[in-house]
Amino acid sequence: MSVETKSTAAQSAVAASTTKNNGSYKKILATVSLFLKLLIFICLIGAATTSRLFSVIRYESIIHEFDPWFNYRATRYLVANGFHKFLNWFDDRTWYPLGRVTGGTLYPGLMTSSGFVWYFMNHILKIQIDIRNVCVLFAPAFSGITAIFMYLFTKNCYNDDSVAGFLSAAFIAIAPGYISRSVAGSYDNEAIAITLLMSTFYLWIKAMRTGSIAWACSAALSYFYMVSAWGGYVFITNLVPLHVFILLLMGRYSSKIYSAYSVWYCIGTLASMQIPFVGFLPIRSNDHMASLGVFGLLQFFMFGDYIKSKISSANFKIFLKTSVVALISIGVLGVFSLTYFGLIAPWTGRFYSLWDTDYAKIHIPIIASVSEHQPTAWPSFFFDTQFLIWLFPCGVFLLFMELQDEHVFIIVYSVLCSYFAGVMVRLMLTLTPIICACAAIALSNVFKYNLKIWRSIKFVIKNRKDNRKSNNRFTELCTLIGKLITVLTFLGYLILFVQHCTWVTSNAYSSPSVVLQSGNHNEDGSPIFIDDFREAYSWLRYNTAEDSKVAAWWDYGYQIGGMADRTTLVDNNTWNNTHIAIVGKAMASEESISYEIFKEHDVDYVLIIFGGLLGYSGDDINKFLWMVRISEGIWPEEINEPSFFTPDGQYRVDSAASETMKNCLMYKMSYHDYPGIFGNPNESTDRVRGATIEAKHVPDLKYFEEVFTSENWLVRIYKLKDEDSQGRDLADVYDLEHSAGKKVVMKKPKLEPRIE
Amino acid sequence: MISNLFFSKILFLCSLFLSCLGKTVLFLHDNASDSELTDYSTFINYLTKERNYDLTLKTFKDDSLSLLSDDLQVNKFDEIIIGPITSTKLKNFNEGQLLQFYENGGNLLILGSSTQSNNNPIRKFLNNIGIYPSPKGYITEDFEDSNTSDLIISDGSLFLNDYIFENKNNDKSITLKDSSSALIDTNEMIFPVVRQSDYMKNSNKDNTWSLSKQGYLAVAFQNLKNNRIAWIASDSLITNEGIEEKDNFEFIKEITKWTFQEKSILNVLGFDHYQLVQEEYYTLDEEKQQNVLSTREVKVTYGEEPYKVKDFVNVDLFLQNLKDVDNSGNAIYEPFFTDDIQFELRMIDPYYRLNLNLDEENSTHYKTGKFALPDHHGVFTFNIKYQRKGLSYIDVKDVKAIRNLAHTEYPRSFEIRNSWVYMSTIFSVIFLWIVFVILFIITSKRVNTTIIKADKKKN
Repeated sequence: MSVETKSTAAQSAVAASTTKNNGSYKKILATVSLFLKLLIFICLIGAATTSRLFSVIRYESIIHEFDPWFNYRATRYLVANGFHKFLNWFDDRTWYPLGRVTGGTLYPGLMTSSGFVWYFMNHILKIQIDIRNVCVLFAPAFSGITAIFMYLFTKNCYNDDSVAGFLSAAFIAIAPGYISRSVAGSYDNEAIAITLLMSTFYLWIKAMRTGSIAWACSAALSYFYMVSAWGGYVFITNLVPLHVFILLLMGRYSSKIYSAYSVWYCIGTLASMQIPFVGFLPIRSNDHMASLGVFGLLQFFMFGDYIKSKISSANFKIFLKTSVVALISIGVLGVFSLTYFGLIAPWTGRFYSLWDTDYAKIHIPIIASVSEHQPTAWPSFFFDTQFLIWLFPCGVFLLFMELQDEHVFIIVYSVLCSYFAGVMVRLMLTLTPIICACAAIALSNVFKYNLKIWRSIKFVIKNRKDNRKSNNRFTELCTLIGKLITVLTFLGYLILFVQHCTWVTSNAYSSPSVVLQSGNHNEDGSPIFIDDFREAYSWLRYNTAEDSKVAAWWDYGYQIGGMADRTTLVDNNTWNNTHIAIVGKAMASEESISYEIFKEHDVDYVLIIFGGLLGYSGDDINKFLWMVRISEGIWPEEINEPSFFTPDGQYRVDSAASETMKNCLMYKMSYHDYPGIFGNPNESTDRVRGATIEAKHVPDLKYFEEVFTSENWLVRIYKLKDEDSQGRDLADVYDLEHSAGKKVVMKKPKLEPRIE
Repeated sequence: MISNLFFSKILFLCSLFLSCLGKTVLFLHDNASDSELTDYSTFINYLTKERNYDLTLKTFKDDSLSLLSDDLQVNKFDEIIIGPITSTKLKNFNEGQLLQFYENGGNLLILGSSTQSNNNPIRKFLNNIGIYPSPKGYITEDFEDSNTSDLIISDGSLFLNDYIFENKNNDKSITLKDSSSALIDTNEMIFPVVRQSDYMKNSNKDNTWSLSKQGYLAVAFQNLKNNRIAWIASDSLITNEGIEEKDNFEFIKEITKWTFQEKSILNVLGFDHYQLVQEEYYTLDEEKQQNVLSTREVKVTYGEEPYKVKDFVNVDLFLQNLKDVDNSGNAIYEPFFTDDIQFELRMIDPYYRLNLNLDEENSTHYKTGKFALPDHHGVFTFNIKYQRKGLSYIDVKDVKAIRNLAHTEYPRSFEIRNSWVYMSTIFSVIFLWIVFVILFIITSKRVNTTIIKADKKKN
């Protein structure tokens, strides 16, 4: 836009050289507008960055949640060992004893980017900065860039309307839906992926509009960066071909689309195959087949176009009919047979769960157990995007009215993503940018029409002197007032939106979840923090042997690896369902069986999360049924979900709990010594489940001993007792120590025959 | 209080120091006074004079009797010999102390008898680990012999453990009088030493405790920490009268040595694993006056170069057996020959079990020879576990990760013959494409293009 205003200014300067004053006036105006634009960008970046710093101010500069701890650990490894070692990293401290080929099973984009930033700062600019700070502040920094790409994307998609561009950039900068994954400390793939999503889409639109190979190449490179950063790249892989496919159906084939898509597809696919984790997926997995199919289709269209120019239209119709039928049948047959012979991988479980929300619950409990994969609740749409959500359809409608090639893209994007966001909470993230764009388009139209009030004002004022058409003057006044009301209303909405975003960011999305804020306050009004996680992890770090293995449910794997630096059995990577089921089985079995399983895996400590004292509902007892379900999937004859319920089907932990429940390891560990901490030695209340736990219902631990319980009992760590050196069963030893003493055998003992 | 503790700790340190000079052995008995032990004088003389033990005699009822330090972590004696016990209620001696003493590293030689009381801590202790001596009044009798209560064990098949009492030539025999007998459970750590013969029976008037092969007259026990216990059915073996009969003296000597860890201890001198890597090096050929290239295998340890899949690895175990300890306390070792030591490479399940072979040059050196690591990355346990009845247990392990191949460690495409087909296809397509482009450019109608270009320039 700025370039155009400059050029128009230059043209007018040449054309109207006689009116020199006018020309210089326009020049100044262009400069001022450029300056203002720059200022707006700086403000946007400032707003985007600063609002994401609430987490650092409220809490501290710390890595958040679960996955970021792994990314952080991987980045540290990269910085310490260099790229080559990072790419071939075999991690023997997770998934014990299988280990994980970490270098080949991660998306390295995030780590390499922040590693590069770190290197650039430390070795080129010579600014000493810790890698942790780079990681913590990485997401806010990238969100500023997202705003710029958002501006470019919206502007390019909607008739070069820079007002819409600026509005969308402003929205994305502060929209909670995006902030939720990109606050300072939230060092996750999504933090950088949304930026790359927008840049790829922008470059694609640009390439599609111009048909330029250079733009298509840039789009492919941006796509490559995206592939290296996030598994969600599949969204682009399907959206762009879908866009092209719909354009083809609409009969809008053009050589521009042909050159843009072909270049993007070839370079993008070849580049994406260079990421070890992706490898040959683009030509093997069904998720990628759409893009290949559209690529092929496009070749036929090109060929058809060429034929059309050579033969008569009647002949061409016959040619078209036969070739379309042949093509479709060949394509469908091909995909079916390739899938049947196993040459193309069938759709993945996560993909099925996108279409059938119950699929995961029945077939793959491990996917369903992740709270991110649950369907979105309605209020969260309003919570995450506030008034943008109802402007969103208006924007889509406006685009339908014009329906240019690039408008189709936004429409396809919004329809697809609305569905996906409804199915999975985490996909709210990919919906947010398009909501911002559509809402900005709607709002820009509102303002474009309603802010043109200067003429009306002039008209109303002038007419008072003329006094000719009083009737007309009245309507003009009404229109003016109407326009003003509309503008002011939307201005009010915008102010409310900013307030809402600030409030949501500071209150809901800034918690690191590693440190919790208690509802109470100190005497001086400062909040009380619950720091049990770090307390426990540092206990592990400083009090256990360096090579000790810690078993915990997979949710805490990354944190144990990152904060306690101990070997874990399973972690958030969840690549091996059986291994997770083993831990689940150990937690759900009787003590003697659990002990055997853990010993087999060289486990030294078992860590559990218990929220009963604090009222922390995300604890292991509440997740316990997932452990049961996942292990039941592998050992249905040993673990049986209904046996953990009361006869009338309730999941209870108090005296009515089933015997299986009371005797399983998780129950015993959670409530070990818990009755009695409130004064009454025989019972106490579980504040999460509102249950009364009686001492007589909590069986003793015979194979494990408690070694650590954090301040608020949130984390409890147990140690496996050493095997009895005399070869006795540990339960017998425990019984012996806790009874008056075994009676001496005076009767002849009944002994098993001895095999020598 | 603190000074007390400190003092006691110094005391223990001193006692530890003293113990280096000669083992402290406690002889617990149930006789009214030590002087009544004259019946055992030959055995006691053997212990004090010949073996140089620092022997302390005490009765079970002695008020000053204490086996352990205040914090129960340190033993006050190295070993304990327990004579037949006839009393029942004891104030300062119970099975818990005995177990603690044993777990702390002490060894126990326990002598039973048919007159032993029923409710005593020794019996409770033995029952706890799976040895069930016959109750009071039960006597083992040999119905093959006229004098039934005198047992003569001379059949070689009744001596069950050569590591404890060697009887390879089947020429040894021992006698026992008024003997009890023991039943044992299936605990693998119990090693039967002497069994009842087919014609022996342990019973009182009404009931039978053990019949023929069921019962054992001498039993040993060794826990996972290699602490040892020996139980003998009768104290007649160590009486002055009994000790001289047959091979009794030799038997009791060997049992004592074994129990006090003075024989049959496998001493692991070293356990390591390493890669063997071909290395090229130059040697000077003096005749030709030039460097000659040759190869040799070099040891590369895990620390220098972590293992990756399919690497060639060797595992070594250096081992010797404690044959005896002489009077001045010097250990005498002998080579240990066997062919059943196995090395196990394990990741939950064993991937390999390889027998170790003795090196021809070094009799302490067992080795697997070169073998290839599995084609599977993961964290593997290199483990040698050798547990034989009568010998101390060996369980050495090392947990090491075997990494996957780095992307640069695969063979290049041109090194793989199968890929030549694809390579030639790729390069021929590229070549043909270039040829096509050149031909296309050459054969295009030049005239048209120039005209169009001119037109464009005009515009």
